[in-house]
Amino acid sequence: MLVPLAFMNETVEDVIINQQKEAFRGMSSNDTFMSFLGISDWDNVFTLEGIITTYLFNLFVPLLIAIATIVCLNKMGAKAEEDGTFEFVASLPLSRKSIYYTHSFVAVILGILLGFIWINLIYAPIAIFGTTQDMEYVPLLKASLQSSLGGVTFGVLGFSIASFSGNSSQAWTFGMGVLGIEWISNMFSSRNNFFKFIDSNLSSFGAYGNPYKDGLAFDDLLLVTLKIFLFLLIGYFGFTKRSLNLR
Amino acid sequence: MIEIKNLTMRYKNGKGVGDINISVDNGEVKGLLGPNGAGKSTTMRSLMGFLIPSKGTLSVEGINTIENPVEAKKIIGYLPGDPQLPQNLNSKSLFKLGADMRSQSTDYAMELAEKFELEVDKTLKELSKGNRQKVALILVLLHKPKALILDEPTSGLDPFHQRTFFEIVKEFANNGAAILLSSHIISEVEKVANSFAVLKNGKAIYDETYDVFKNNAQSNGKDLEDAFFEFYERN
Repeated sequence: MLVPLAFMNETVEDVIINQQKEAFRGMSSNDTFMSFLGISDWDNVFTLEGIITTYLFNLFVPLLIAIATIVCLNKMGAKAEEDGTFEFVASLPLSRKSIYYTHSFVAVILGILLGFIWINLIYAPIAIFGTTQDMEYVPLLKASLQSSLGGVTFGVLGFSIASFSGNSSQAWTFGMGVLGIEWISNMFSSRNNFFKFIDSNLSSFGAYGNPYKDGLAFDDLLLVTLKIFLFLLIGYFGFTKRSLNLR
Repeated sequence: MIEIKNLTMRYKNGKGVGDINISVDNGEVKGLLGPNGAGKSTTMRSLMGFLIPSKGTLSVEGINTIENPVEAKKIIGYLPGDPQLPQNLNSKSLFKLGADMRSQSTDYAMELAEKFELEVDKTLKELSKGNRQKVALILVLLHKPKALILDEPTSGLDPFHQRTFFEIVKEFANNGAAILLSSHIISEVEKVANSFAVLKNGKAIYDETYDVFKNNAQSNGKDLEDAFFEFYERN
């Protein structure tokens, strides 16, 4: 969908954007459904900026980053313990602490880096070829950072629980489970106080807001950073104190 | 010197090892015998600090392997029972990686590769099981460790290279290394070990020199293998 948006002329814009927008306008009256799709701003979502900053950054980027982090860190950690490749690493003169610090660093940097690479791949054709819709690079980076850190919280949660237990499947259960719960809270936050509380105070999705327009909010950054730190701490205490889960 | 004192390590299912006492002097090769599930790998993994024991003191050259694992692992060469190495790297790269991690050169690794007739440019997935075992053995030996902990080291090796391996083990022992080597079969341990310990259901039931056992077997008119099985059944 991004490709025609980036290279379109005004006729195409009228056919595939404005007419679609009107055809589906009925959907926009249902807040829960809009939240389910990750759309926070109906009128804006049919612009390039809206698609990226209020739709893709809202749900899909955190989801992809969480999946990539869990896959990569499982491969280095809990899954490697289960299939035996970790025994080679563990026999080297490295402490559990240093192994865990390295894995944690990779988990956080990988997520941020993926968001950064992805947004540059999107922005490059806009900057090089020019489009009828323009986007500003620095606000885009800010939005990318907030969205990526949201994804990192879920990936790091999965990684830390798997590190705590040595069971790679728990990375998926907890990482994706909490992502699901926070997403559901986001969907129903306008209808239920419990979900509203989670969305406003604990959720990484709730912390996203709209940093492209409003800039980075200290509270939101603090929330995701604290979550990442807390989850890493849980994994640290488990991984450095337990027996390895070798086959 | 390798010292295992009062080692108790239990898994969640209750299996494991209990009150194991084994020591290996410098220059000694000790066989660790027992069938599958006897506790050989558990003992070795506990010694490496991979498994956290509920009781016991484990040390190599006086360094506690649980409290000071980094220092201990600098002087230990450990071979897992089923070594799993990165399949997409070639042996040469793996030796380089292993040597770099230990601040060593790859000279000795390449020397051993030549002894084992190993093609170092092939990736591990292109190598046979026996050749992959050779790579793992070389990774264990490349820093000339003072203690060797080898879990079924000859698994997959052909008789010719088993012989080469035992010669290398003897060379390490002659240079003063303490070597603990596990196996299912006494006749294999016989080729290289001065003494052996036997584990059964997580307990050490024998720890003596090889000659004592051999003399007892001979005085009862039994060959070593039969005497061992009879002893194992009896205890």
